[in-house]
Amino acid sequence: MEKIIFTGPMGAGKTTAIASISEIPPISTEVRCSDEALARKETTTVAMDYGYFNLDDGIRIHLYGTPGQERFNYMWNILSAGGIGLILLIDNANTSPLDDMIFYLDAFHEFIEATGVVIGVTRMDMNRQLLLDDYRNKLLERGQIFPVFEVDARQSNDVKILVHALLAILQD
Amino acid sequence: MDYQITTRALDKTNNVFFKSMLQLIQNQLTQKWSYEESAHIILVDLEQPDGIEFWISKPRDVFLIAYARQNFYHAEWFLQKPLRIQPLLQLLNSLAMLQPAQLLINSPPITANQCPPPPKPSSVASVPAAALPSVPSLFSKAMSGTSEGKNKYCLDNKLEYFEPSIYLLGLLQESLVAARPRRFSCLGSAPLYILPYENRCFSAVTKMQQLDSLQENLYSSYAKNIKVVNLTPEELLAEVQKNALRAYPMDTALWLATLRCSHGRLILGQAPDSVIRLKYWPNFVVLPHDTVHVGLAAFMLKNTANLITIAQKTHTTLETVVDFFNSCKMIELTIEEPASESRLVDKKIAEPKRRTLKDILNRLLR
Repeated sequence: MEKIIFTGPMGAGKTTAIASISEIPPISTEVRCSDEALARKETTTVAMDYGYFNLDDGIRIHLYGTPGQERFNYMWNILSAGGIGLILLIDNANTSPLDDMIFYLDAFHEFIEATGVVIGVTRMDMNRQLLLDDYRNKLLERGQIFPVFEVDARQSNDVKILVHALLAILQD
Repeated sequence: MDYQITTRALDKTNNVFFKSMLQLIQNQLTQKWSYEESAHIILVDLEQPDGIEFWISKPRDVFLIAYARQNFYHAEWFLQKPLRIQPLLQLLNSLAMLQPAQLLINSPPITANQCPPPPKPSSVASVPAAALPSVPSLFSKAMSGTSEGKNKYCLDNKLEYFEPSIYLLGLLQESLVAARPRRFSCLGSAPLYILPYENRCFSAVTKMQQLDSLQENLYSSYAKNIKVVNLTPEELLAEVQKNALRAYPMDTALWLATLRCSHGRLILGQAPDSVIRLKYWPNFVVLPHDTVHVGLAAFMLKNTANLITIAQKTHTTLETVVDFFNSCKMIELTIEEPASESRLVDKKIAEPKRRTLKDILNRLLR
């Protein structure tokens, strides 16, 4: 089964990104936020998001979104097992997006080593304090060079560029 | 010096188009060119029976330029159909560099029963063979030659190099150095506004990735055809607001201006045999690109190699690699390493997996 994994903190746009390239409206296990997260988002994914697109030869490429909140992290390994690669979405308007990026890169370290990762930074327009160079420099500090793009998860073109870059690094 | 040119076997539309295009580009030509009913420089349509007949008759004392969709006859001087301004300009300016005596040399002989061979995969198919600076020759000469030869190409032979200062790119660079907010406009194209101290530019174009040919004009134009207006930051922002212009990073304009003008020529001053890698990924969301550029970026981040090796390993034309390299260099994404640092990483991917990845890509790009 071929699948691409979307991960990142709550509100980064995983559900939206999957919706923008999926052939079906994504199936989400969303529930109404009941804690402090309610201030930021009305609903959140608790198990996973799911979408897909089909290739010409009938192969189905599954798109899985992990739940954003850390307390659901037991799902992350389950969802990512056997995946083609990882798309990490980071919400630039969050309180500490660089820490978020490091957290998820560490959490998916083994999966990334075995496959690859592409980072999409969303909501750059909401916070200009951090630029793409800050993300790149943070990665360089760790000796990592991953593709980092400023994206709008609602734009299918932007999401396609993320997937395209992921495919390119997997092939080289 | 004045040059006369005529056409042979062009249909009425093409002929009218050629004549008007010749007039249109007069002020961009290094020499004066005029269309005459009779002239010794002749553009021959090799897709017309008359043209082929004329071509193979090997007329004396004329200088022939092949005009067709493909350079089937491997003519030394070739202009690709359909007629376009930039290739015609390059062709005529290149011809004007020749000695007058050379312009009287006949084109390569061709026998009457010779059939057009199947088109060779050509990396310069979209640009006239003669007008396009010969990148491969530049590379081979520079790489096989001594350092003296290399310097010759780097410093003297500007024809074979991409010289930013004569294009929009030069104007942008100069404005950034001077930190002057400016508006750049070219007939028919949406103006480009730049605000250097914010490192931003503005345009009415909503998707730089999908510029139509009219909008492309500005980015591929010679500097002398671009109107430049100095603005105060307040005036510029007022125009941005009034016209609801879209903001882009300055890199978008620099990238686009490089990509559209370099035409496979290495940027002036760059040694052809440099060993190169990328510092980090180009932000393709704001940098107009082709599919092939994403693969090049992935390769150039993992590997450190010269441009020829990059082209060979990625199965990409050298011209495409050069254009991509120039654009990356312009936005400071490239790092040059000593030749001893050349490093190629082995690909480990299994063939079925590669096919699946390719299929996913094809599906996404549909």
